[in-house]
Amino acid sequence: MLTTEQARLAPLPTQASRSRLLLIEDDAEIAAEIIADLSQRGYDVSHAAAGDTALVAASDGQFDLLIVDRMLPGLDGLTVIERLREENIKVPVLVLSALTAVDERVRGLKAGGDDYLTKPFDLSELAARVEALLRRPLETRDTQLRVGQLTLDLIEREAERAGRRIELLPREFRLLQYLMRRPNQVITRAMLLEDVWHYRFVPQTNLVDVHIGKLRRKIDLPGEPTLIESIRGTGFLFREIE
Amino acid sequence: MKLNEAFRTGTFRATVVGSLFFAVAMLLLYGFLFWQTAGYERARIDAFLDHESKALLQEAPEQQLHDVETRFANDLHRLTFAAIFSRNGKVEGGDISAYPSGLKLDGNVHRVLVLRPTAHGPVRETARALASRMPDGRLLIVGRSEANLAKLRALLTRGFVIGLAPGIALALLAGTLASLRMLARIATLNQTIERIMAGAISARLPVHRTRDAVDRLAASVNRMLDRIEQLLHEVQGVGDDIAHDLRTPLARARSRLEGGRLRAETREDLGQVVDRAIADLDQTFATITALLRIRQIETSQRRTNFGDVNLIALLKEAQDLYQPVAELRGQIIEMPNMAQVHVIGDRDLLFEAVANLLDNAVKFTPDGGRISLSADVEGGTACIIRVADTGPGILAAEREAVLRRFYRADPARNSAGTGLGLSLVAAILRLHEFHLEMHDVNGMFAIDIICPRAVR
Repeated sequence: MLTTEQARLAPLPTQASRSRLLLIEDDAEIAAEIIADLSQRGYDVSHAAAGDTALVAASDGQFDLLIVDRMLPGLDGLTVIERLREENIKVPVLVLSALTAVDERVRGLKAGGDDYLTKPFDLSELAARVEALLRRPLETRDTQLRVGQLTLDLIEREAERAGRRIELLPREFRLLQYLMRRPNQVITRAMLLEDVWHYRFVPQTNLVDVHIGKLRRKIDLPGEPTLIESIRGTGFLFREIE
Repeated sequence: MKLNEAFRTGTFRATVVGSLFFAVAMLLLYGFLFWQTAGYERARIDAFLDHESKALLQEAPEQQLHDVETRFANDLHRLTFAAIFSRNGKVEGGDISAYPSGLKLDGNVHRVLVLRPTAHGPVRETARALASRMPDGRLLIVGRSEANLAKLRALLTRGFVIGLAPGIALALLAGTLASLRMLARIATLNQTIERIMAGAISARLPVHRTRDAVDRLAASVNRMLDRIEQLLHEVQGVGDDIAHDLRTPLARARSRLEGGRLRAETREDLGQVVDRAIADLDQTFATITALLRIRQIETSQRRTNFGDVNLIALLKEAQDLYQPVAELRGQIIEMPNMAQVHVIGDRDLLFEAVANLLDNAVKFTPDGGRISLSADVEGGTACIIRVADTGPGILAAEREAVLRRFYRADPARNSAGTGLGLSLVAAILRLHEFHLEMHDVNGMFAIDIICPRAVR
C-alpha cells in the first residue's frame, strides 16, 4: 500500500505514458505554480499565455487535457473552447475563472468545458479535477459494478465484499457508487458535495467526513484493509484491492 | 446673467411657442371682428342705397334732377353720391362725372371704382353703388364711398398691434425670468451633486415648499442618496468585519508556524503545527469562498433557473444529507408528515439555503438535542419552511443584526466557521423575494423562510 504522501503526488499508475496537458493562463505567477505542481505529479505540462497561440497549439490534437483560464488577452477562453469544439476536437477541458457572476459556471460548461474551477483554488483540488477528467468514470453495461473486493449490485442496490453482504442506505449507495466508478483516484470533498449532493457551499460541519466514516464502517470489518483511504488535506481515494 | 442659457431652456421655448399661439389667436379674432363689422356695415349701406334709390325713382321726373343734386348736400364727408345719366351715357347732373365702369344695370348694389370731382381735382375711390333705369329711360346711380370701412380696418389693425406687441413682450419677459430662476435652481442642484460626488455623501439636494416637479425629483434623489449612504455604511462595516475575520486565522497560522519553528523538536511536532496552520488557512479559504458565493448570488438578477420546486422532497434530501452528522451527536432530525408543497424558485439555491440553516442547527444544538424540519401552507397562498432546534437560539435583540454579513451572535467568535451562513441564506431569499423570520416556538428556536406565493 502506498503511503498518504506518495498517493498525493504519485504519477498515475494506470497511465501508460505521461499525460500531456496544455495550460492556457495569462498570469505568469499562477501559471508557474500550476506547472510546478502538475509536473511534480508526473504530467507533461505545456503553457500558452494568449488565446490565439493556445488555439494553434491545441488544434493539432496532441494534448490529453486543456486547462483554460476564462479571461485571456487576445482570444477569450470560452471562444477558444468554442472554436476547438467547432473543429470537432473533443479533448477534455477544465475551465478556470475568477468568479464574477452566478451563471459563469453554466456558461463555461455550455461553451464546451467539462469541469469548472473558480479562483482561488487549492492546487490539490486542481490536480484531483485534472485526474478525474483524464480518467473517465467506469461505465458498465452489466448490472454489477466490480472493483477489487467490492461488488455493487446496481439493481438490488446492495454491496458485497468478499462474499459478505452489506446493507446500504440509498445515500450510502449513491456515495459508494460514485467512489467505485473512480477507483484509485483522489476525490476531493468539494467534488463529492457538488457531484453527489449537488451542494455548492462549504459546510461548517464535517459533513463529508461523517458520511465517508459511516460508509467505511459498513464496508470495512475490523482487521480488513480500508477501501476508502483519506488523503490528508485533499479528500479520499477508493483503493482497488484484490 | 446667462441670457443665452436662459433662451435655451425648456421654459423659455415653451413661452415662445405659447406667444406664437397667442398671436395666431389674436389674428383670428381680428379677422373675425373685421369680417363681421365690415359685413354689417356693407349691409347697412346696401339697405340705405336701396331705400334712397327707390325714393328718388318715385319722385316726379322734373323734380328728380334737383333732388339728385341736393338730397345729399348735408352729407358733410360727402360719402354719399347720386347722379343721372342720359340714355347715351352722358351725365345730366349729380356728384360724379362719368358712369362707373363695370357697374351692372340690375338694381343691385355692386362694388365699383368711381371718379369723383373734388376741390383738388377728380379722386378715384372704391364705393358701393346701385344703378337703375328710370321710367323715361335715363339712368339713376346712387352710391356711397367705402372710406368708412377702410377707417374701421385701420382702427382694428391699430388696436390689434397695440394689444398684441406688449402682450408678447410681457410673455417673453416672464418666460425669461422663469428660465433664469430655473437655471439658478439647477445650478444649486448641480453644485450639491458635485459636492456629493466629491465625497460629501451626507449632503442633500434643496427642496422648496412649492413641491413642484423639480422638488419632487430632488426629493426622490434625496431618498436614493439616503439608501446609498446606508448601503455604504453597511459595506464599510462589512469591510472591517472581513478584514477582521481574515486577519484572525492568518495571524493564528503565522504565530503557530513561528512557534513551531522555534520550539518543535521532532518531525511529528512540526507536522502537528503545520497541520493546525493549514486548518487556519483553510478557514480563510472557506471565508473567501463563502464571500464570493454571496456576491455571486447578490449580483445575479437572473431567475433563469427558476422552476417548480417540491419542498417536501427538498427537505427530505437535506435531512438525508445531515442525518449522519446529527446521529453522530445523538441529535434527532424530525420531519412531520406533510402535504405536498411546491414553490417557484431555483432548486439548487433553495437547497443551499435550507442546508445552511440545518448546518447551523446541527452545529449549535447540544448533543442529544432535537431538530425539526417542516414546510406548511399558511393563509391559502403563503408557505413557511421552518427549521427549528433545541439549541440556544439567537436573542431577540440580536436577530436583525445576525442577518447581516459576518455578524456572529457570539462575540467571542470562538465557534468554528465563517459566520456567513445566514448572510448567504439571506442573499438567496432576496433573489426569490422570500424573507426570513425568527421565532420561539414550543421551547424551540425556529427560523422561518416565508414564501409569499406557494403552488398547490
